[in-house]
Amino acid sequence: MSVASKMVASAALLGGLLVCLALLARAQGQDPAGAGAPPAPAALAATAGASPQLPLVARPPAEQPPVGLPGDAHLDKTPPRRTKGLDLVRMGWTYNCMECHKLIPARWHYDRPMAEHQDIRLEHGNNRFCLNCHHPTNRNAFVDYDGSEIAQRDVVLLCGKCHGPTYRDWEAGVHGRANGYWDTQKGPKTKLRCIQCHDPHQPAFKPMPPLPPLRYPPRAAHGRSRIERPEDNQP
Amino acid sequence: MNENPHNSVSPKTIEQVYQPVTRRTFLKGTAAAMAGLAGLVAALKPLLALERGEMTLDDLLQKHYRELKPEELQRILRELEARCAREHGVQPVIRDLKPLPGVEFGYALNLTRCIGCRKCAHACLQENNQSRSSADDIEMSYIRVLELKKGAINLEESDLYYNPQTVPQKDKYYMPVQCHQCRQAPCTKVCPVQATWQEADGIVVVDYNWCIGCRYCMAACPYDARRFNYRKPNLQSARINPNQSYLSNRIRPKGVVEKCTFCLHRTRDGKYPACLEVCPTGARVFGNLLDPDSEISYILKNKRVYILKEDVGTLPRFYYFFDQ
Amino acid sequence: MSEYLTFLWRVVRISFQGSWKFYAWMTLLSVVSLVGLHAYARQVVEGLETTGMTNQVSWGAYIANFTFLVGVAAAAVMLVIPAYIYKKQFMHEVVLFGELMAIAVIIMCLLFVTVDLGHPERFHHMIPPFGIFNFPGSILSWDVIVLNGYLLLNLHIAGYLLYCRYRQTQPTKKFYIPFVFISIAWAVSIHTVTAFLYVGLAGRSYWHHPLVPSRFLASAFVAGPALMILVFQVIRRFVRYWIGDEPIFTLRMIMTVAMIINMFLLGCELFTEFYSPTQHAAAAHYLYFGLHGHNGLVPWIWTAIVLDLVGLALLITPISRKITGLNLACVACVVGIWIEKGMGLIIPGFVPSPLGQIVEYLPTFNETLVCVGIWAFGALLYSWMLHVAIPIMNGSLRARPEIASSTQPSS
Repeated sequence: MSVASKMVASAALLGGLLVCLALLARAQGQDPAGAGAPPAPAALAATAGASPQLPLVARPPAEQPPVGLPGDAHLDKTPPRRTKGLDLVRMGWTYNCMECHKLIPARWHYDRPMAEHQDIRLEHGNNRFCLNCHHPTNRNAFVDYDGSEIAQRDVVLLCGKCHGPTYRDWEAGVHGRANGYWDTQKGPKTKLRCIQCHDPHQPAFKPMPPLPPLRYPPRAAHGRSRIERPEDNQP
Repeated sequence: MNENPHNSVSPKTIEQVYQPVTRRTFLKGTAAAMAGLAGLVAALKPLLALERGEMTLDDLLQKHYRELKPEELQRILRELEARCAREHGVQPVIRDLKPLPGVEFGYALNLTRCIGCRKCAHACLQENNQSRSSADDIEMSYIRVLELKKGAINLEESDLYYNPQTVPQKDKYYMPVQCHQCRQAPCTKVCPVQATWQEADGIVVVDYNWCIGCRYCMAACPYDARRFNYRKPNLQSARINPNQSYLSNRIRPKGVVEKCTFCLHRTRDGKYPACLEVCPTGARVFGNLLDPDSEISYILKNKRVYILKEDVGTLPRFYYFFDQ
Repeated sequence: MSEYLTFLWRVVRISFQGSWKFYAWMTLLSVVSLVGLHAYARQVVEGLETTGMTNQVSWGAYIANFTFLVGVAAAAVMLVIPAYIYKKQFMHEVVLFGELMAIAVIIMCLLFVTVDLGHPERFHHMIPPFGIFNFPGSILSWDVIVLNGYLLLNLHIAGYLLYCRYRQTQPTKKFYIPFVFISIAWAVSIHTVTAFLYVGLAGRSYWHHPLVPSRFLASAFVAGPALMILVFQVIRRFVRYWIGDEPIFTLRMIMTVAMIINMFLLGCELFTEFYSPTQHAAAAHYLYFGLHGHNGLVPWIWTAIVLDLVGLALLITPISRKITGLNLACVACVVGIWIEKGMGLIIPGFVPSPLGQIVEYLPTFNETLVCVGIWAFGALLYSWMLHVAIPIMNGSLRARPEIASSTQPSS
């Protein structure tokens, strides 16, 4: 073999290696099984910018002061669900999703648990698309029907985007629990946000164990008479 | 009149009755009287166990709540507070709250959202100072949560004692029932002493110091909403709710009837009742029916509400509705 | 006035004069009454928790006995009607016993209501001006008026007639005849008003129908005369007072007719409840066949129906023309109707509860003692009244004993 042919062969090898690396790099950020692979995030931003301009509606921010009145310690008013992330945000943490999502583009479909966020399983009925709720570029925000951002603290507006009648009922105070004063001239009325009862990825209200049946007449009730409670017979 | 010859009696038969009392008769009579008295005293011995101060002359002479002068009522409230402090070691604050002007209460319950967790029933026990400290006590919460099969309202097939691992169960729905504060309440009609009546804001209340305990109102109620204190309420001091009021959750004596008062010690202050505050799904809606912007007015305007046992004609203030 | 005081003194004297059998009977009744009083004292201290009543079944043995006894009291009218309206002379010798029984029985009724109250010391809350009387809204207030009125009527009539007999004067018609006629209507009213206590409650479909007052009256007019017939046998055997056969067989005839009506109305009730499978019939189902495995009352009601039918059969056949057969029929009828009115009416009204809950009821031992004590006290009262009245009726107890004879002016 001559020197020239050796050089051509190594060049080809190097070129092949580079091509492989490039391909690998592309594959990292792409859905390997996605037949109809979505365009790159940059392309999406361009598309969003080109959607029709919808009128912006003024929306009040969803203000929820803390629940409960002093003197009601015997009544358990904790919300049914502990909200993790957005409560941290309200408490002042910088919960900045863009830290990771600067690099990693979002997937469109949900069909398998993700590598990160393994605790999230999406069972939201017909809503199978992550980006129906999450903003595609600014992962610290949610997305409105016209593509604009909904801030994290205004998460109820996101739910109201699709669940209009329920949101209307919630605004009126009849969906979900109100606490405090029915007569707002005498004191504050508070209500819970959607995510304090419903896990946004699995919104169906979780069944909970019931409190035990009340103790009925020990003499004449059928069968279930002697119900013991741990706090019985204490001074 | 007795013409029959079989009868040949005359005053001679009972001659002794007409004679003056002999010493013998007198002694016999005294001995018999002593024996009788001893028997009577033995029979009444358990009354010694009656607590001091359980039945005072002041209690007996107390007038009906609606006829009490303000200073008399205040004296009674202080006396009741002192009694509670003596018996339980907890000094409560017993207020007398009058109905708010321009307010008529209404309550609605969303049967789609109720999951049967019974938090309302247990909160009611805690808020209203009901008897519950030993295994022998019944927990007579004013709220009964019924588990019904989907498809019909057949109260006879309802289950009060359901206790599955989780609620709601798939083919069941849950209906809490409490006093409906009926506009045409059968209970207020039948009380012989008018110890129970409907106030201006719609709440049917009981004056526990006036009730004679005949339990006619309990027989009359179509919703099984009233409870009777067959014994003196048994409470642990740590679990007494000190925010009390005369007509609602002060600690009742034995022998009187009690019922849900829509937590009037809270609601007449503008707060929500305890059952609503703890409901995890927000199935309960409460407010002022006369206010067109209240939540309860919203429900009555926009949801398909119905009432329980409409055929009995009680016109209750408690509405049930389904959301979807 | 002094004559009246002498009369009272002689009543006291005669109350303690009698045979050893009288003493034994009265001592037994006194002891049982005191036992009942003791049980009631325990109930006063501990509250009504000593009874078997619950929040679901809030009326029990006390009100059941009360209901039965109001019926018995009403039945005195069955003696008064033949005597004063049909002017059957032979009834006059026994009318007084009916009225005295009405007095004793009404006092028993009032006692049963008193022991049922959670706060009997607050009864003055019912009496204006100290209290508030919910008249005419509450049927219980009507009941208080009619029962006490009936007691006063009978006390007056019996007392007046006895006192006149004692003084051997002719009773003035205007002092008692109007009251007698009032008492006829009043007797019907006491039992109708007691029935209306239950009938007016729309939330309890077992009670909320018009047959309830009709059956009340029909069964009262069986049980009352039956008890009277048994009392007459006792008077015949133990006391020097003759009661002829005619009063007894008049009562038998009244009982027969009333029992036929009672059974017919029972048949109407059973047909209405069970022909169509409605939910309104849940209480009747519980009573006659048991409901969801709870059948505590089933043996009781069927025993009552069998006893009623046996009583009816004995009454309409010639068997009851013999005094033994008649006594048997009376006992069967009284026991059957006592069960029917007590356990067969009051308890099923509460089972199932308005929310469909089934809580069964059984009286506790303490409760039973109180009931037995009140029955014994009523028997004591009646025995005492008879013990005083019969010497007046048969001529031994007189204001002026030296001019007394065995022939009496008619009254």
